[in-house]
Parts: sequence; C-alpha cells; structure tokens
Amino acid sequence: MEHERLLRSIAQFRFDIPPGDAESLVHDIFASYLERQPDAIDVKAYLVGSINHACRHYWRKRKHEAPLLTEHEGNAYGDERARVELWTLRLSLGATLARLGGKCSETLRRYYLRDESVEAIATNLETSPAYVWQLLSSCRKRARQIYTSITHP
Amino acid sequence: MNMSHYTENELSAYSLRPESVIDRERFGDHLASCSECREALEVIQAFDAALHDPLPWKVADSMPNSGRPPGALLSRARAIADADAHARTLVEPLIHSAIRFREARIDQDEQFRTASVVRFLCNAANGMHERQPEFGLLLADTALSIVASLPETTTPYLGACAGTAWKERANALRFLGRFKEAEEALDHAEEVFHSDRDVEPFDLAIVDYVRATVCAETERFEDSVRLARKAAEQFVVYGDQRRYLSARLVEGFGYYCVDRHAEAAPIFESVIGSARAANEMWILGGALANAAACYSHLRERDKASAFYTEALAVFTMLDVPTERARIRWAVAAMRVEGGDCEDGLAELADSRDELIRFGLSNDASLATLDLAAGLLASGEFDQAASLCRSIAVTFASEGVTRSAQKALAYLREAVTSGDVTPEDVRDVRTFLGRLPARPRQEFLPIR
Repeated sequence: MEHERLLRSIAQFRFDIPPGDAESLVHDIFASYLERQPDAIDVKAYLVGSINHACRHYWRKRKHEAPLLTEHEGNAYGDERARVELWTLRLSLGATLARLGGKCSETLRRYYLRDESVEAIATNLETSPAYVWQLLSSCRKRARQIYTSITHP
Repeated sequence: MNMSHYTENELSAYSLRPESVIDRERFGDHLASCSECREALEVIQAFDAALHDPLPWKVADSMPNSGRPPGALLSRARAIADADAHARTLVEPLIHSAIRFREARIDQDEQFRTASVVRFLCNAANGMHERQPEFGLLLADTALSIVASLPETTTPYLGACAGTAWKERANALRFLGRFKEAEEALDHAEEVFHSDRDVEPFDLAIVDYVRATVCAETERFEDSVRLARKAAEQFVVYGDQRRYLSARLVEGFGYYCVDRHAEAAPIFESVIGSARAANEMWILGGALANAAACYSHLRERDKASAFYTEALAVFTMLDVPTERARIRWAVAAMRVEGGDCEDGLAELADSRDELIRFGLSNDASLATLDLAAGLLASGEFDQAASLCRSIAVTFASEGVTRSAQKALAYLREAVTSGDVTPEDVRDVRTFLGRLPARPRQEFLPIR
C-alpha cells in the first residue's frame, strides 16, 4: 500500500494526472508487475520508473489536452536520476505526514506550512507555548522515524 | 551528550530553536570541529526545511489513512501466486538434469502450457547460462515453444512473456559464442515486446544491454557504446543501480577496445564512485581493474598503480584468487614496461607461475610474452628465446586459434633467426591479448 500511495502521488502531483485516471494507471502498473514479474532488483524503484513512463505515455496520448512539460520528459543520466530522487523524497515526506495524523500533523502544518508563531498555535490549542515547543520537538522526531521507515524499509 | 558527540535530540532542539540551547558557544565550537555531528544536524535541518514545501502536505491530504488494494487486483495476485507455485512443483524436479528435462518434452504436454511455466523456465535459464549455456538454451527454447501455444486472448502481457523467452535464448547463444543467432533472437525479443499493449522501456533496455555485449564480442564497438549508454539511461529511470553500472562498464569497455583510453577512464572512474557508494563490490573490482588498465595505457602509472592496489584489495575481500593473480600480473608487467626490471621481472615470473597454477593458460602465455619482452630488453636473450619457444595458446574457435598460431610461428622464426626484438614480442603479445575481443583480426608483423 505504501508503494500504491507513492505511485498515485507521482501520477497526481508530479504529472498532474486527474485522481481517477491516476488510480487507474497505478492499478495497471501493479497488474502489469504481477503478470510480468520483471527481474527488478529494487521493486519500489522499478515501480516508480514504470509509473513515470506510464504518465508520460498518458500525456503523449492526450497531447491536445495539455502539453507535456520539459521537466516531465525523460532525460539522460544525472538529471533524470536527481529529478526522480527529489520527487520520491517529496512524495515520501507526503506519505510520512499522512501517516503522522492527528495533533502532530496539525501542529507541524501550522508551524512550518502556515508560518504561525508558537504563541498563536498555543492560543489556538488552548495550551502553553512551552508545550507547543515540546510537541514540535517530539512530532518532528516521530516524523523523521516514519520517513526513515518509508525510505529505508 | 554521548561521550564526544551530541545526541539526535540535542541536535534536533538546536535545529528547531538554537536560542534554547544551553552553552550555545560550546555547541557551535563542537559543530565546527565535528563533521559527524555537523552532518547529522544538516540532515535534521534539511528535513525541517522540507516541511515548508506545500507539496508533501498536498500529498498527505490526498492520501487515505488506511487503504486496501482493490479486490480484483488482490485476487489476481493470489491466482498468479498459486499458478506460479504449481508451475514450480511441475518443472523444478525436471531441471536438475538436462537429459531428464529434454526427455520430459514438457512443451508437448497440456498441463505445462501456462504463463507461469514460461516464467519459471525463463528464470531457470537465466541462472543456467553461465554454468551450462546449452541447457540454458534448451530451457529458453522450451519456454518459446510453450509461449507459441498460449492463447493470446487469455494470456495478458503475452508479448512480455515471449520477449523474455527470446531474450533468454539470446543470452544463452551469447554464452555459446553464437553471436549472429543471438542478435536474431534479440530482434525477435524487441519485436514481441513492442507487440504488447504497454511496452515497458525497462524490457527494451535489457535487450539493448545484451545487444551491447554481443556488439562488443563482435568488434562493433561503436554500436556497443551507443547501446550500452542507451540502456544505462533507462536503468537510471527504473532505479536499477546494478544494471546501470554494468551497462556503464560495457560502455567503457567499448572505448577501451578501440584504444580510446582517455574516454574510457572517466567512465570507469564514475562507475567506481557509484559502485563504492552502492557497495556493489564485484562491479567495483571490475571498474578499478579497468580504470587501472586505461591509465597504464595512458602511461599514467601512479594512477594505474593506485587503482590496481585497490582492485587487489577488493578481489582479496571477495576471495577471487584468479582476479588477484591477473592484477598482480598487470602490475608486474607495468613495472617492467616502466623500466623497473629488477623487481618487475621477478614479480612477472611469479605471476606467470601463479596463472599456470590457476589453469589460466592463455593468460599465462601472455604473461610469458611480457616476461620475454622484459628479458630481451635487459639483454637476457637465451632465457627470452627459450620462453618464446614454449608458448602455446588455445581458443574456443578454430579460426582464432589459427590466427594465434600464425603470430606465434612468426615469433619463433624471429627467435630462431636470432634477431628478435622486445618490440616483436610486444607486437605478438598485443595481438594475442586482443584476439578474444577481435576474433577476425589478422596478424600483420610490424617488420
């Protein structure tokens, strides 16, 4: 399921494919993987490569709807590898935050994404700033642990 | 604090709120001098910085907290797993002996006509080529025969199934030295892969990689470089580091074979860096030895020597005595060529004996020629002449053996006439050394 989420996120967020179509593409990727059983050394990396290809193919078939951006085109060696790695890291972080849930996710979102001050968060949560600092500290640690378990299973 | 390092919690607190850290000055001083803590802090800071990026939050919002794979996919996965297990039960007892397998004629038997059996045979063939290529070929051909009988309507991804079987046939033929047939099999593989609804570029990249190795074996080095590079690009996309590095090695080898050492060396060096990081020790050992050979040709002996030393350490760690012997030979030969005859000749003689002990007779013959050239250069004519007369080589192909014998006959004649020079010996040695990669090459004496 972790791979499924990652693949769907790649389709949706890296390639801007509508959610319904992204889900179908991911389903096809898994079906193809099951039937073909390719000799892949790193299954996750293989599936990521496969979804990247399927998404490019998707947009090439629909050229008139939205042009494929240059950044989506496969590129030689380092560029493409670096790009895939960067996307994988961003999407893995997304999966981390999804798993974090509850108060942790909300606190980190307020502090990092919305740039709210610790005092404002404390007021909103009806607690003390010291507790928010503590929450930020423990939630970041928990997030790093989840992230590591996703990226280095 | 853990002895001399800060803990993750302390570094995390510093990243979040530096002003809250007691004795901040001491903390800063420690970071300035401790790369381990600095790197750990950088990881935490990068993680914190990434939390400002809106995209991961959007991704998180779009993900359900718990999900199950679709039922249809799950039941398909179970059905495939059952079919694969059944195929294994049917075929595995037969593949311990080529004779028993051949006699079973499974392609004639209805119960073996499944995609799972084809997959099993392809996997078995893949593991067989190096040890028993004839059996590998039989397994691949049986897979092809079964694929041909599978109904297209009920077998999804039939093209991929057939393509893999053709690819395994090509692999077996490559190991058997039947390169023309291997290329034909690769043409078929490519064609059937393309016949599938969705062709996976990964499959085509493997075909390109195998073709690149065939091109290298058949002296089409430009094609070899081009195909290996193309395959490597795709392996990157699929995150297949091992295949990527293997393809880059073939690319470097293509340049090496046409004496473009200055272009080959940076490729091998780049493979060295990546293989070291990925802990791919076999690839690392090969790349180190190849980079060393390039620098030896480029007369950059210090660099070559450093790479040889590391290659030796890698092959010692992997416990591959034959590769160690080859490297010791290369180092000794380089030393003699660089003018250090005193130590170099003794090392070369030892290496030659070691190669003989390991049964590497052709390598031993080449080492003998290196030794003879060195002895001639030091004025030791009689010993060199006696060595030149003792050399014999054998190759799998009769044509190649004939070419080798022609070169050795020339050398013996030069020895008998008494006017053999170190250049004559090196000329023959270079020719023989290149013969496996250039089997159609004819010997043309320099004089």
